[in-house]
Amino acid sequence: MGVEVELQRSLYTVLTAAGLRVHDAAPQVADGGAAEVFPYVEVGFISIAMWDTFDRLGFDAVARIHTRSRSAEMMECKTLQGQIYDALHRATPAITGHRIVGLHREMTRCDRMTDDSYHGVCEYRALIEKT
Amino acid sequence: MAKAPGRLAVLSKAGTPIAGIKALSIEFTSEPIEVTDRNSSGVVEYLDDNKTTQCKLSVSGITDTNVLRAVFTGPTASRMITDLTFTYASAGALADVISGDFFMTSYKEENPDDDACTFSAEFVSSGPYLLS
Repeated sequence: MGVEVELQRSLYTVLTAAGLRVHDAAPQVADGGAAEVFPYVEVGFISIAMWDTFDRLGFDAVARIHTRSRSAEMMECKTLQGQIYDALHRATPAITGHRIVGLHREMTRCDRMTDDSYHGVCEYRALIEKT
Repeated sequence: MAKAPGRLAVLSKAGTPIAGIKALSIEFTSEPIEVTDRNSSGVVEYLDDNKTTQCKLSVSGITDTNVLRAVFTGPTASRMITDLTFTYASAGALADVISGDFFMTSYKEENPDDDACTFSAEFVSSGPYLLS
């Protein structure tokens, strides 16, 4: 599969192993106000630029990882972000058909939404070469 | 010659392409012999012959091997390289090749904490270079 799929599969594997509930994009719940599916993480938002050299194909990817929480405070959202950081920052997770040259966090933030849930965003940059 | 992408150009040392290249340039320079005098009516004149001619190669990319780094390993080691070849990009046809002795005038590596290691190097020809 392409790097888009394999990178997402790798992120899913690593974050699931870290004990997080991970979705591509979270499914809509029957009751929009239901809280039992929270907290969770979404890993499907990946943008990729080319990072080729003359002799190798490469990708400069940014994975925007969303954390969603409906606890009464930001602490849960930020705790999730810390778990993601521990699992990904400067890590070298396996990506089928590819090799990670570098992976690091670029930024993180946590916002309160209009429905009083909390939405965290972390961006991780991955330099990847095709093997 | 047909149009060709730049990535098909090759810089090789001892027959092995340098890995990780993202940009590769070749430049030829000539310095003329000026013979302007009072009879030139203020218009610059040159002889037909060159005073000096030189070929310059510049390369940069993502560090993947230490082939070029090794040339600069010792502070007193010679930077004269006798097995460097530049092959022009070519869309299928036989490409022109520049070879000869090249002096490696600079080598630089960047090591940012949040990005890949990169390198750049420059070479200038020494003596006649060969186009084949």
